[in-house]
Amino acid sequence: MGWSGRRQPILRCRADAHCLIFHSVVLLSYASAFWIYLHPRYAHIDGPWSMTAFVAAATIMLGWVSGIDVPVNFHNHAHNPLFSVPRLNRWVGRVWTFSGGWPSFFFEHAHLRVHHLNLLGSDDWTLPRRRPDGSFESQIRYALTHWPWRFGYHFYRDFTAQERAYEPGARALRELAIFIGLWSIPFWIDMRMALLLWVLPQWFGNVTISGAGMYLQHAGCIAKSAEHPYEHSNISLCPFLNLAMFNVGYHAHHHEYPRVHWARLPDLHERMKRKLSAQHARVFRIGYYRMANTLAKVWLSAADREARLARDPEFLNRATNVAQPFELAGPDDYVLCRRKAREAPR
Amino acid sequence: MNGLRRVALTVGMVFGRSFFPFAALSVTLGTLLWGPWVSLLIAVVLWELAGFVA
Repeated sequence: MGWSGRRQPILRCRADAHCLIFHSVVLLSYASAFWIYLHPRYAHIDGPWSMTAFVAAATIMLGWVSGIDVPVNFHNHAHNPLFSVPRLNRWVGRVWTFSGGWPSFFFEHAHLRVHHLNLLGSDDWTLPRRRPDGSFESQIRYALTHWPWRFGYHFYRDFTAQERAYEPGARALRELAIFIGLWSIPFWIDMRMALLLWVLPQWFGNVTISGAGMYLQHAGCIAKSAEHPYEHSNISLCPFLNLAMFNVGYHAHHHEYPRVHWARLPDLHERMKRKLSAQHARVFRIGYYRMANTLAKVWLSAADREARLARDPEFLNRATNVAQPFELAGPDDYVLCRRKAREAPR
Repeated sequence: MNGLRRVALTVGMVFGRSFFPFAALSVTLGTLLWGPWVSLLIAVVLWELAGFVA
């Protein structure tokens, strides 16, 4: 065995230190909230109402960061593992996603094998269902039903299917057992604390942040084709969103080149700019939070909604200076999906 | 001077990239200083602000 004298660094990319800092601060936030719950008199909590206020504040903040920590931050690790040691990658993954209410292997299955391989197709069960007119179901319906209900159902189906070429059932069971072991730690400390400051924030984060993110990254989009190569994703160029959420706004770029490191996505954008502009990519100036805020206002008319979903002027149609409507998907997309599902061999 | 700028940039990037968890930690630990009602107010204001700026 040769020895070159040069070893590969354990952390493969220095920028990934940010991913680890992010997750460490998330865990520290949970630990702080647990400590305050167990020592309420230090935090001016002297009755049920002040405890309710504390739990509400903690649910918003802890849920918020948990909703980013798995589907955005760990997601980077799922595509490009942080370390050069496979066993370390596996264990870091396990202690990463449990605080977001996910076994790491389950997230990788949903994201890599379902979402990326079947983007906007009838087999992509990670995305919202379509209405008869081809549009996505409402944001709130998707948010409330996707995690853990629909995802749990599909995990069960995928991991117990016998006829699949890829049979991850045994591994899924082992990973689920490890997840339950780690996830149950707060319950051993205090059952009520675990329900209020562990389960509730994770539910809130998955419903509001993760649910809205998954919805908005592809809302109104259509499946990739030769005619529409980049209209499968909504791109956000909001600087603050991309700074604080690992360049998640460069979403079409990510689907086109999923192995490109998150820190290199702005460079990739510079290279893809002309193509994105020529192919009418869906590029927005506003971030996903603002988009969620706009789409949640169901009383707005389609015209008002379009006006609030500000496109980046650099990517408007050059000839007409007009953006395509937000909702591109039509009834044909839905009929096609249903026909495909009916004709699929059972 | 360049060294100082580099340190400031690095620290800025650490806080920028982990803005949301540091905000969560500040609101949670801040309860020790200002109590739960102010923490709740800050959490709601941050939530609303994010809907405008991000």
